Amino acid sequence: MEHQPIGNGVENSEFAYIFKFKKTDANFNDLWAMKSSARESLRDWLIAWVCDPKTAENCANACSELIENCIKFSIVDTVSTVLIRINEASIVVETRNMADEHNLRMVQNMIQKLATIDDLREYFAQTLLTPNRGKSQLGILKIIMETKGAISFVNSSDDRAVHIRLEIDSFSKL
Amino acid sequence: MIYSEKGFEIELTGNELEFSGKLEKMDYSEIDQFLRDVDAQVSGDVCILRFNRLAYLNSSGIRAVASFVIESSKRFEIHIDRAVTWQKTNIPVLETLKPDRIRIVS
Repeated sequence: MEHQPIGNGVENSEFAYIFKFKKTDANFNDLWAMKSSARESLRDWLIAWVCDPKTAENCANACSELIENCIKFSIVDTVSTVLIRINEASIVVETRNMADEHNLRMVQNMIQKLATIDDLREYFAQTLLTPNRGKSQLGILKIIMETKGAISFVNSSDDRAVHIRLEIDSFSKL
Repeated sequence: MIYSEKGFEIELTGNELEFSGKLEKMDYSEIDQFLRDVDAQVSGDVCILRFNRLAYLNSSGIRAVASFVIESSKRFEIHIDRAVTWQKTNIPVLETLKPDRIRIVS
């Protein structure tokens, strides 16, 4: 599998929105609040770019769920990166954060499993029935159901890195 | 009965529970308890949930709502706004959890 740094393709994009943050012992609540602001800001920027409001909201909501995972599962004192870029054909959301092996495998396994699921709605329902709160990667399922996008785990030279790419058709009817 | 924090509110009036604002907590344990209290408070067999005024619900919140309806013995009538993608996509999944006890109303 290819190794790609986050930010690959920004120079060819018509729009790019990128930010980084560091998780510490003391700033969890502030980061959680920032996540909400980032979602609202991203939605507004996408609409300004002339993205239709519904696609803008779905993309921003997806980004919000990915940022939540970064905040929850990142190793303390590491930096997470969030990038959204747009060209004519697609919207790409990428996040990269550092996690312990257990959390990394959890995300990787969920993304791999998604490729095998025929009925996502049924799998979502089954996941709701299982008492595995906070660890079930329900957020990733929600993202795919709402955006109809394609999600992938991007391998990295750093074996702690959780690098996720979500690609959404700019003109998908949602 | 009302549960209120900055940005959102959950209000019980009779047998109708209305969610409003944007609900995206990390920890839903207090809300879980409130919903259990709601379940005990609502008399009768039917509880109406209204999400039309809820602009955003994160995945952990969907799980909290799902746990509430699964654990309750009541029937639920759930009102959503189908123009809102997350409501149209996620809330109807609850109907599959207890198809004879949950009805989605647009």
